[in-house]
Amino acid sequence: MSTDDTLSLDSDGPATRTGWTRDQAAGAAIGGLAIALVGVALFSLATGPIQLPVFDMLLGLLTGTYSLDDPAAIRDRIVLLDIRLPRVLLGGLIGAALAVTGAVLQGLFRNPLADPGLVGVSAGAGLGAASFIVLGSSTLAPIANLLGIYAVPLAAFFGGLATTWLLYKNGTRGGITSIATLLLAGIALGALAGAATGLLVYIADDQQLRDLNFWGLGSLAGASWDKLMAAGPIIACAFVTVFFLTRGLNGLMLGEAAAQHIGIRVQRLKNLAILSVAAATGASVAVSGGIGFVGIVVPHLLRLTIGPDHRYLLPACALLGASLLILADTVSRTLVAPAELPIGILTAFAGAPFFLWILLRKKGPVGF
Amino acid sequence: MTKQLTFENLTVRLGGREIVHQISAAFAAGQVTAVVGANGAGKSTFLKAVTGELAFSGAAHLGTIDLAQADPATLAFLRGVLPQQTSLAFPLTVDEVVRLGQVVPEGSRWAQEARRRTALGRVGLAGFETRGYHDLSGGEQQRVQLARVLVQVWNPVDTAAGQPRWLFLDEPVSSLDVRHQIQIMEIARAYANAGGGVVAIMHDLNLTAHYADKIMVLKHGRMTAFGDMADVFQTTVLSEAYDHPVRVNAVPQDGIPFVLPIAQTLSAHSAPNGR
Repeated sequence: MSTDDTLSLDSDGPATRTGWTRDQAAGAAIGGLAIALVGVALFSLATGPIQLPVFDMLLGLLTGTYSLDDPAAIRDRIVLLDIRLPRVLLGGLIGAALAVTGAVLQGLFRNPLADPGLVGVSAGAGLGAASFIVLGSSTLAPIANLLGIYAVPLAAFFGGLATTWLLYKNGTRGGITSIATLLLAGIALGALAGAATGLLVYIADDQQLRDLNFWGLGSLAGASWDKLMAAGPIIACAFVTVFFLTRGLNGLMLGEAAAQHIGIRVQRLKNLAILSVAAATGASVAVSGGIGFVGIVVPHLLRLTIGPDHRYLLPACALLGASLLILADTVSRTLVAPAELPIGILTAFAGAPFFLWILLRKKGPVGF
Repeated sequence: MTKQLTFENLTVRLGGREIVHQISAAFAAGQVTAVVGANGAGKSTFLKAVTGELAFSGAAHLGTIDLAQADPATLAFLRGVLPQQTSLAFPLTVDEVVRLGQVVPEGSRWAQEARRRTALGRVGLAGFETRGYHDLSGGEQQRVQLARVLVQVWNPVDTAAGQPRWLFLDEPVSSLDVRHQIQIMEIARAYANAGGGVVAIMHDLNLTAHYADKIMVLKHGRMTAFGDMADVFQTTVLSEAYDHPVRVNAVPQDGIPFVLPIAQTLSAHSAPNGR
């Protein structure tokens, strides 16, 4: 066999080595996306009803030479640190979470159209939020009073987790999770949660209806350090977990059986992926409502450009998702200032045509 | 004992039905063992039980490793599996597909890359690295998958422990032309000659006759024959296995048997009442 080796080692002509390999291209893309994210974040910090000299301010704050002599400087500092910075950070966090969970679910379901809506997280979270928006002042008043302003986000988080748990129990037989059953049960549970939400909409008054609608469209308007501290650690844990799953998700591209053949603990992979996705989605939906399309467009776009290798795809998704959501949020709060457009409207308005353009531009049929 | 793949009363139930009944046998490393039988005889189910895809009762050991207990990474180091069909979820390049065989890495980065290139050369796809997997024909895709399996268990014998490694091939040549059928079977043969174990589900009996050392015949989930090729390739054994008359003959010079399935119309002539 060794003679064979030396023979065919030379058989690879130089013709196959043209330009960059996909690995190098992906690495470069990640670097570029990281720089873009910093740029977008600075732009977002500077933009708003008050234009801020962000560079000078950050430099001054970091070096301790920021002068608080005049009232304008004090006001600028408050705007930057208490209003815009948490909002940009939260936007980045949520955008990254949406894109990464989308990519992980698509890898798990082996389908580029999967998104958290499919595993019931979104519907369950929506039901949880809706029950407190509508019943918070009546039936659920004791709990709502106890939780205060956190009632709706917490209800969304636990609604999402509970639905996912139910779904997972449904799709698992004898310790083996059937992805197909999970998908079908997810559709059924989504419909059930949707019907229950519909019932709440039916009994809601006009103000509650408006709240429900706005919540469903998503917004980062309530961004604060508190919310960041609540959602941040959960999403961070989910990120750390899924970044250990990249090789496994790559193997899963061959199918579950072959993934196990090449040395991947498939059931453990499924458990960790579903748990991470449920936690990260629950946390994002809880603080920002339902923001659509990022979870499908970003992974798909990146798969077309840097390829489906999850080792690169997930970090790139995090960076691009963060940039896009920060950008969308900046537009949403400046376009009709001092009012705000729900961010979900913007992501869909910008995302959907762009997605269609990508699909049309591709020459052949879409190779999933 | 450590160089064998052994089964004791291996039984697989699927959906309340027993698909594979109480198979007891020992396959040796250094040999090509072919599993043959009619459609639905339980060949693939048997292989899936052995490769850890399906739960089974009874015992199966790869060397001293209990196949029912071993974790995927340990098994991945010792055996590669070529499935009958593989559908790829996302568009990878050929090299990326082959690289999936190295999820549990072995050797330096450079060595791994060289192996991938060599493996592709061996399956007749040298220079295909950057091609899109989905743009290839079915036969080419199957050979890419074989290259992926080869890089996973590159050395037929694990040099550190002196332990043989195994290739499990489920109909490895089903969608290949004659030249590539031979090419793939030569790879299997060379792997066995170098000390590794090869288990292949085969439909082409004549190709099997050329490359297999041992034959296991399955019928309705039971093992009806197991032994050296010369003993199993008998007109009665094979006719019984397929419920169809075949005639086993030998090529005059080298004595390799060939199998001729007898056509219905032809056998009607020889039958007493024309049916």
